[in-house]
This record gives sequence, structure tokens and C-alpha cells, in this order.
Amino acid sequence: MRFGALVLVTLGLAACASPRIAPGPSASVRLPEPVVVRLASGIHALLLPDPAVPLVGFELRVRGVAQPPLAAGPDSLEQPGVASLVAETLRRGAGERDAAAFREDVERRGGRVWSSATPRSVRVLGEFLAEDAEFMLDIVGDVLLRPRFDHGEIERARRLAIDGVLADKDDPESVIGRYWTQWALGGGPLGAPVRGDEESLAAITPADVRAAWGRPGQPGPPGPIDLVVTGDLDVGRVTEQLHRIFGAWRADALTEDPSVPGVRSGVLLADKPDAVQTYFRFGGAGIPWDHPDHAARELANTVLGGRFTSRLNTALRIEAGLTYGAGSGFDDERGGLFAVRTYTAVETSAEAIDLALATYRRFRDEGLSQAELDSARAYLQGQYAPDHLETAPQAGSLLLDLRELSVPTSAVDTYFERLDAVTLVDVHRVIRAHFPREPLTWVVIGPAETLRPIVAPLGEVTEVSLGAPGFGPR
Amino acid sequence: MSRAPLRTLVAVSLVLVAVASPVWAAPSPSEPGAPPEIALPEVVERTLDNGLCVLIVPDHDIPNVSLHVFWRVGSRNETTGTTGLAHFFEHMMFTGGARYGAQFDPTMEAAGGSNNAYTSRDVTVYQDWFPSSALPLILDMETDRMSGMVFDPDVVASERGVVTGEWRLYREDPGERLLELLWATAYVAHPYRWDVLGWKDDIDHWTQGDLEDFFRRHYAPEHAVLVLAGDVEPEAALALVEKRMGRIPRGPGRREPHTREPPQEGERRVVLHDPNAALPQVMLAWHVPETGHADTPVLEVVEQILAGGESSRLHMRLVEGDALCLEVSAGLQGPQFDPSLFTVQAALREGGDTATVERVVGEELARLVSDGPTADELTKARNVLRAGMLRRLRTNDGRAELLGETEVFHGGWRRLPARLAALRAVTAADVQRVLAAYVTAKNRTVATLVVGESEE
Repeated sequence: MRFGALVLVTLGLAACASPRIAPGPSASVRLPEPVVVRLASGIHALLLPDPAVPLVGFELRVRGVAQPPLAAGPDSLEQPGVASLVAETLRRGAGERDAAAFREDVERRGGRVWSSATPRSVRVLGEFLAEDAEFMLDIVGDVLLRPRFDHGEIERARRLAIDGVLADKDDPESVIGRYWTQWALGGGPLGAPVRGDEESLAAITPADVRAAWGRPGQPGPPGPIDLVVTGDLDVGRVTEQLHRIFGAWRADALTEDPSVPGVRSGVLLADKPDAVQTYFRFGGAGIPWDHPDHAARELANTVLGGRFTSRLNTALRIEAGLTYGAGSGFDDERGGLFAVRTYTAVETSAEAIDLALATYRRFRDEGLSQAELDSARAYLQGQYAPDHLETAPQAGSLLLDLRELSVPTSAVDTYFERLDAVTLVDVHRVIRAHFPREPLTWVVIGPAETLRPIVAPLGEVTEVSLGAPGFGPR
Repeated sequence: MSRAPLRTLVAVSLVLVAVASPVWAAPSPSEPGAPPEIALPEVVERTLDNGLCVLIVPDHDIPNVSLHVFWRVGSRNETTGTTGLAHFFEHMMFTGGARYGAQFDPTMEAAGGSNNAYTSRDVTVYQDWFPSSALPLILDMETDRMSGMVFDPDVVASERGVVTGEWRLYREDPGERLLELLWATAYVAHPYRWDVLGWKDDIDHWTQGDLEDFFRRHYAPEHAVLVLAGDVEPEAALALVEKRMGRIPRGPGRREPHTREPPQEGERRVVLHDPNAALPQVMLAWHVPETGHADTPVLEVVEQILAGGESSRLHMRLVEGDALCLEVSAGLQGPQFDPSLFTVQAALREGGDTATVERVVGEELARLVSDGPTADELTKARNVLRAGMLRRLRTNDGRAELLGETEVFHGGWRRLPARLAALRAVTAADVQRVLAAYVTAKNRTVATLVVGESEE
């Protein structure tokens, strides 16, 4: 096919049905306005039409999976990994299709379905060519209302999960997050490893997995469902199909949001004798997304450890050459738990730990300059849209995150204004109030023989072996 | 390697789709049930007098721009003794323009931008993501570092330390070491045989003269393609580019790599013993043509049939069925200018036997040669490749990457429709022919990772 010498062809990509960008002095961003589909109680369904490319997608989140009965109390033993196995098994057969037929029918159409679990929800996502929208929604119905939970598939999922843990333990970078959250927050819903550990997974039975999903005499998921359908879709047809699929079905609307526990202090040293790199994190309690100081928190963190020229990366990578990356951040899924994160060759462990700590201390003690604040603001605003709102699935996930964490949508729509309003005085107050003070909580992974004397001054040390089952003390 | 903790993009598979015409079209009457075609984005192109090729891909959905500069320089342009230089340059380019120097990153971030880069055996690609209001500044910064580098010895020493650290990081990953060994065994003559990171001794011995010479010869505008995708007005953007980058003079010319890999005339096998590795791995490679060759689309379809998704042949046999492996992948190692490799890579479960995995892979390949793929498998490959293409066309970054790659590796971005048509046209007989031609024992290299020390 021949084309003209200069300007080429065709339809530019059509703009999204509702503008993401509100006109205004600072080119602020705004969440697209979804179409709300009123289904039975307990199901919250949104549509985000976007004809830009002929793809459709969905994301659904179910809460209340594998939670201990409310009456059991906060000390009831969790079974870390059950929700994750539920998520994995949901893709392994639903409705008329066993696991093989499910994946064949999805993949033959060029589609994808993937799933995961977080502390609050089991998530299933999918993406298909636009012409397969009806098929995709049928799959959504099957997965939610008619999952098969075949015994063999649950066993397979469990085996893969255990293998995954063992393989991950060979690479400290893959596992330090799990050691960190369990050490900092304990073995409850927010601290325990979502994907389980060697022991917890071995103890889970297929009956446990099935029980985590249904309730006696009631098919379908146990908790509230959030569903977003995105892309090049026909709103009328999708709405009609969703009504057909869900009919009069009702979900249990009650679910308890896990409370954020206090943060344990002290040092966890996880021994990996053959490690050539030392990985470490330190931090403590922070503030969550819906806190009034959220914008100031983000600005401050950007300067400390939220981008390439952050204080931490500048000190540890650019100036000292001790690491390939150093950063920091607040974990919004866990109440804003704050951590500084980096790694270094074992030989330079002491130097890197000292420098990271010194950089953090200086930041807390001295704060930042107006120039740094302005730079951080420009950075957060300049990077926001491509990271969060360029595609309909991105916007859909953001809407679901806001709902899951009970954060109002205005938090996004007013984000740029809130960033603009933060002064240097505000930032300094927020740093002193919300960036954790010492004694800090630490997790360090590497050869204990080398690291013991180095970590001893940091706090009371608890030592475990990386090879031991689990991710440290609960 | 890229600057944030990301892996080298060695295999950037071009996911392309058949398109017969550049507009929305219904299924053609001669192919009932054929999936509808896709639409290409608007592209404005200009080649400057100094040879710099510029592509503008406007889209106003978000007030942002993605800029990619593709340099036709990679580790294949190196020589023995100075390996790793192309990758080192990727690092140096962020530190040494005459005007911005070490302020490059702080200046970009203060304007709301971020950046990254990657080096492959064939190209080095620089990427900037920024709000459209920062376009003049970003172009000024890119011009600065394209125009001339300042090789401050302290900075060189520091960056040498960083790339050494990166080298060490990759050495710790048994899979990366195995892949390096696979290439080094499959190629005996061509520069593809060494890794993008280079050999450690070469990293330690680069001189100031090596750097200056490399920059002068390879970082010249006639070797580059600049793509701007996003919230820009094409003519205004072109004027800005012309005004700044148009002044950069052409380079002194360079010799293209001339050492061709001789045909492999017998199977090669290599073993890596790693006492620290927990799990065995095996990698197989076959020599295949360069990306621009007519058989490449067939191999992209083969990739999907063999290991694309969980319903693929190798996944069903090795991961699900016999449960021998944790994961398996297959595919082209491209895009590449010179004859490349098609590989199958398997990570085994604990205690797994690599000989068994090799046998299973061999069986599946033989079956595919003799019986050919099913109609469903061909349909799946087409749909998967089309969906992947659409995903890339959905973002500024994806558009910049896809169009830039096509310009560089396929003789021009305008050839996108032709490549798409070729993918769509792949038949079962094509698959059988291509496999029979390339996937032979003689043409095969096998690298095995054995856990623990050698017995001898």
C-alpha cells in the first residue's frame, strides 16, 4: 500500500468519550465520569466507554474472601494464601468450561484473563478484542457465579504457589517486601504474605479454598463486588447483558475493613549466607491516602525518595555508586506504612546503611528548599496522567482503588489544586509529624555473619534464616 | 541496560497485525469471519538535511508527550577489547552535555519530566516522558547531549563504577549468566556473541580516547530516529526540532560491522555449574534470519503456538501437564539487524531433569513440523498479535516505540501495513517449512544450568 510523502493517513485515535483533562490554569486532570449500572445490591458496576482502540476490558474486585468470621475476633488464625489460591483457581475453570477449555477459549480470541489477591480483595481482570465483548461478560458471569474449584486445579495452583515461594527466596529482592510487611505489621490481614508461605500453603485444603468463596446454600462470592468494564463497548448492550447475568442475585454487603495495626520496632535480620547483595528497608507508621496531609506527604516523599534525583538516589547511586537504586514511599494498601528501600554489595553494607540513615535523618531534621518543593510539584503533576489516566483500564483501576480504600474521587479531581496549595511551612510540619522518628523498624537480608555487627546498633535484633519456612516471626 | 532497575530489553518483540488498508474496514468478503482491521495513527515525517529522521505522532487525549530517540548503535558496533561501550554510553549520555551536564536529570524532573534508556545489541534508545508545556526545554536538552559530550574523568570513573555494579548484579542471576553463555556459544565470529554489558576486563580498560572516538562515529544525527508522540502540533514541533537539531553536523562516517557469522555445522552444547543456583534451567537456540527477512512473521506466529499464553503447547506440556517446569518461554531474540536467534528457555522445578525437558521440547517441535499447527492455533496467533498491537497503539509511549522500531528495523514506518499483512497471511505450510529449515539439530545450541558443583 502506498502512502503520501508527508502527512499520513487515517483516523487519528478518537478522543475518549469524556475528557480527562479539565481546562484550567494548571492543566489539571480529572477522572472520567463513568456510566453507573444499577444492579442488585452488593454489586457496584461502572462502565468507562473509550472508542480509542477496539479493545474491551474488565476488572472485578471481591471483598470478604477468606476473612475469618467476624465473631472469631482479632486473634483468630489466618490462613495466608487462601485468598490468593481462590484468585488463581477462579481462572481455572468456570461454568461449562474446565481449566483447559477456559484458557483455550480465552486465548484463541487473543484475550487475556489474570487474577490476584490483595489484603482486601480478590481481583480478576481481563482484556479482549472489542468484537468479543459479549463473550468477555459471559466469562465474568461464569467466574463470579459458577466457578468450578476443581480439586485437581486447586492442587495445581497450590503446588505452583509453593514452588513460587521457594524460587523467590533465592532472590532477596523478590522476598524482602514480604519479610518487611510481616515484621512491621505482624501476621494479621495486612502483615501476612498474601500469597502465603511454604507452611501455610501446605496446610490449606481444597475444602478451605471452596469455603473461602461460597456461603452455605448461596452460590457466588461472599462479599461486595466492584466491577468496571472499559473500552470500545456499546453501553446499551453491556448494560442489558449485565442485568441478564446478575439478575436478582445479591451479594453480602457486609465486610470488615482490616484495621491498621501498630508498627513493631526493632531489627529483623534474615540470614542468606551465600548472598552477594544486602537488601534492606527501614521505616515505620505513616499516613494514609485520605489524610488531609496527603498532598504534602507526596511532595515530601518525592524529594526524599520518589524519583531518580531524589535525596536517597542521589546520595547512594549517583554520588556514592553504592547501589543501582534507592527510594522511599508510603504503602497505601497498608495504612501508609512508610519505608526507605535499597540494596548494595555485601562489602559495602555498613557504608550504605549509614548513608541511607544519614540521608533520612538530614531530611527529617533540615527539611527541603522552595526549589525542591517546586520541582517535586512539577514532577508529580507532569507524570500523573500517563501513569494513571491515559487508558480506560488505568482509570478504571484508579476508581476501584479509591472505592476499596474509601477515598473520595475528589482526591484525584482536586489533586493538582491540593499540590499547588502546599507551602514550605506545610511540608516541614508534615515531615516532622508523619515521617517516622527513631527508633525505626528495620529488615535486612544478607549474610548474617557479616551483618550482625553492622545492624546491632540499629535496635534490638531478631535473627531468622531465609531458608526457614515463612517470612519471619508473625 | 536501563537506568531504573529494569532489565535490558534484549527481545522487544514486534507485535504486529495484518492490515490491508489504512482505514476502518469491515471483514473482507473473501474471508468470511476474518477479524476487522485496525487503524493507524496519524504520522508526520521529515528527514533533516543532516540525516536525522523525525516522526511526529499527534494525540491530544492527555497533555503529555513521549519522546524516543533511536540510535542505530548497540553492542554489535563494538570490537573485541572495547566491549560494553555502547551500554556505557547510555549512562554517559545523562551526564555530559556541554550546557546541562550533570544538571540533566534535575532539570528534566523540575520541568515535570522523567526519562530512561535501554541498550540492545543493535540500538540504544533514549526515552523522555513530560508535560507538553516542557517540549521546548526537552528538545533543547536532547540537542545539547546530541551535540557534544564532555568526558569529565571523575564522571567517567563514577559511571564506570555504576556499570560495574550493574555487571555484578546481572552476574548474580544464574539465568542471565546462562543466556550470556548461550549467545557466546551460538556465535563464534559475529559481535552478537558478547553481552551488551561487555566483558569485565574491557569495562575496566576503556580509555578517554575510546569514548571520544565512539561518540564521534556513532552518535551522529544520520544514525538517529526521533519520535515525538502526544500533545504536540506537528508543524510547530518540527520547526522546533529543525531549529535546534538541524544545526548538528553529520558524523565522519563509520564502518558497519562486516564479520558475518559462519553457518553453524553441528550442535553446540555448553554447561554452567552454579553452586548457588537453586533451580536448573535449560536454553535452546537456533540461528534464524534478521528481523527484516520474510520468514520473521512466520517465526512470530511460531512463538505464539509454542509458548504464547497458557494454552500454548510447551506451557501445557511442561508447566501444566508433566509439571516439569515453573515456566517456559520461546521466541525471537530481536529485533535485530543481523541474523538472530530463536530460543526456547525453561526454568525447571527443583530436582528437575533438563534432559527430559529437552526431549519434550524436541517432541513438540517435531510434531509441529510434521503435522503443522491447527487452524485454531493460527487463529489464536493472529488474534494475540493483533491485540498486542492495539495495546501498543493505545498510549503515547506505545506509539512512539512501535513506530520507531518499525522505522529502524523494517525499512521505514510506512512498512507497518505490509508487515501486518504478512503476519496475517502465515499458513500452516509456512510454519512447517520454516521450522524444518531452521529448527534442526545441526543449527542448535543448548545451554544447561546445573545446580551445584561439577562432579569431576
